[in-house]
Amino acid sequence: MPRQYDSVDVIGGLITVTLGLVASYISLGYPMGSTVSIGPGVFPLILGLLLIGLGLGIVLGARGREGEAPAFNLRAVVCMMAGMVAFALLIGTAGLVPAIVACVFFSRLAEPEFRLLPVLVLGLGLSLLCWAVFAFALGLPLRILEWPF
Amino acid sequence: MDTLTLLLHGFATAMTWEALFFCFVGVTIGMLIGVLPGIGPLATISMLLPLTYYLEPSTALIMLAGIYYGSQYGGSTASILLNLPGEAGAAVTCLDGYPMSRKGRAGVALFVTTIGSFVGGCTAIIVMALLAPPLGKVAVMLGSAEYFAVMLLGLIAAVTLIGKSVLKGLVMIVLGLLLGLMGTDVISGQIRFAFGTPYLYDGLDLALVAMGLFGVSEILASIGSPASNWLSQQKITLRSLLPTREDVRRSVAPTVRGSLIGSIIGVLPGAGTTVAAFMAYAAEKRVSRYKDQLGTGIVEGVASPESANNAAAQTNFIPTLTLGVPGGATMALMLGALLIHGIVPGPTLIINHPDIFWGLIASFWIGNLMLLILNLPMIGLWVRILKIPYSILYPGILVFIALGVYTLNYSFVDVIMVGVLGIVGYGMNLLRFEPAPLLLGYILGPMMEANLRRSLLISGGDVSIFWTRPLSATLMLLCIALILYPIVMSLLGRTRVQAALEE
Repeated sequence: MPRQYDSVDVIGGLITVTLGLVASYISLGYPMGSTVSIGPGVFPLILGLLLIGLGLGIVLGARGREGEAPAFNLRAVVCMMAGMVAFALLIGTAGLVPAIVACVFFSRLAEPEFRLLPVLVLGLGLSLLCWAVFAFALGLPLRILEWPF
Repeated sequence: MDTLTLLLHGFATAMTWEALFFCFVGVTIGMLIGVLPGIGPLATISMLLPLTYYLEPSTALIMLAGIYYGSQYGGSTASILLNLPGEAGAAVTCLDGYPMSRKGRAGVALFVTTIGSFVGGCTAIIVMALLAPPLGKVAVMLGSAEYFAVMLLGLIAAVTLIGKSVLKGLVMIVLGLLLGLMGTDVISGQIRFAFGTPYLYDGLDLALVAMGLFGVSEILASIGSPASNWLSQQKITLRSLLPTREDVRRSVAPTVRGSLIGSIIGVLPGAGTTVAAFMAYAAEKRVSRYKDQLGTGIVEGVASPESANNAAAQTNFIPTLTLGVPGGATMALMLGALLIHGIVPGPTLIINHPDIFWGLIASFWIGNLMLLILNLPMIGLWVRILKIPYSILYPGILVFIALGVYTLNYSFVDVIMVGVLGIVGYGMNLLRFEPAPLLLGYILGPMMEANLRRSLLISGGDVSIFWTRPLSATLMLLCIALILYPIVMSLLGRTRVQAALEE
């Protein structure tokens, strides 16, 4: 019989160990100081070593039971990121309204049902709300609509 | 000055138009997000953190606190009507709240929880006003070794009391501590963990970390979950809210018990509203005259945990403000909001900024009163809000996060960074790591390191300072006990919270 293990926890534990190794390695490059006046490397080094120990503990604890692999919603991740990047690129160049509409458009593609008109209405409505809160009420210097060309 | 005079001064702070307005905004938003499943107080407070930069510190805290306890009120609504807790602390309310709703007594359940929350809130105010000043006086006497020990205790308590995987909770805390160290070290000037990019020389902004890990990742986790069409077709009219005389009689004792338990649990660093609600329910299981009927939909089962979690939501501020040790991730954000304004929470806060401390307490009472008015006559409105589809909600939340982050520094890199952090948070959730303790570590990281360095400087490099001073030794022993406790309990089969539920 093959040995059972919870693959989710094995992955999580290994990532933890890796992060601990990286943190410890980087910390070793910082001054350690003396025991009286410890340098900036000591505390992160302790934390890095702790991470390695905890990660190993998680890997060991994953033995003896089966684990379900989690469902990764790639579409949601891609659409969200597209929305954020679009917002980031447009807010400084084209202004508030195009940035918000683009962000709503891309992030809304994450769900199966998609109709253009309600999405546009939602984008414009949110633009109005954000203008009211950030530009009008808080008085922040935000450009509403700008022609970049 | 005696407590009463100070409290009156607090009311003067909380009764200004500005404070009243933002208190109202806070509790309304809190109520709203408490009702809506899929967005919690943690995500909301992170989203609104940038807005508080423009407010007075006392007003900012009043608003953020309003969101926190407002969400405790709202959380019960979704639990009762949908069997879906709007936020974690309300999960216990489902046990009796939903069965009541199926019996057609949702209105009564909502009424009892609202009154219970109000009584819980009022009890907590008294506890805070009486307990916080003496605690502040004790805290002044703490040295850096004790501070280090208290923070350690707070961190460990935060992961062990919840009863999920302690190892993973500790991993999140250590990661948070490391993340908090990112940037320029104030003592030596050494730049740490910046990977050679000037963008990271000042470290990652608190708002960025919070919005990414909680706001964006919650959206990613909720998109594509089964369509939300579970609302029971029950009509909630004003008349159906009215409890019978029997209901009123039976809910008095559980409400009082829940309020007291919640107030006490909330004071402990590391124990949040969820623990308080569970403990209160477990207590009802022991002492109630109707304990056999708990879980079948009786008023005792909703009155007690709801009073407890609302009381705890407020007394949580005691360790946060007097010791500077936040009890949970949400409290860590409150602490962060104060730090942004240059106010260092700790024993000197009550003395140096009485307006903030007493103003906050006074605002609790005002906020609770507002919630009572918001809740009872307008319950129909909240029920209708439950029907807003998520596909309209989440693009709005995302836009709000993006714009909030952008207005921090007008940097488009920040917006992309928050998206990346969101994916990281989503990944953590998928690997069954709960990211909330990370925030606690992030806030406490620099403080812990500073106290560690100071302690060693004082003791001349002798590490034994942590266990030769009596108070510090006691705290360290408590830390060890807290770590060993769940291990022993898991060897015995199950944790206490689970045991209380399964009974």
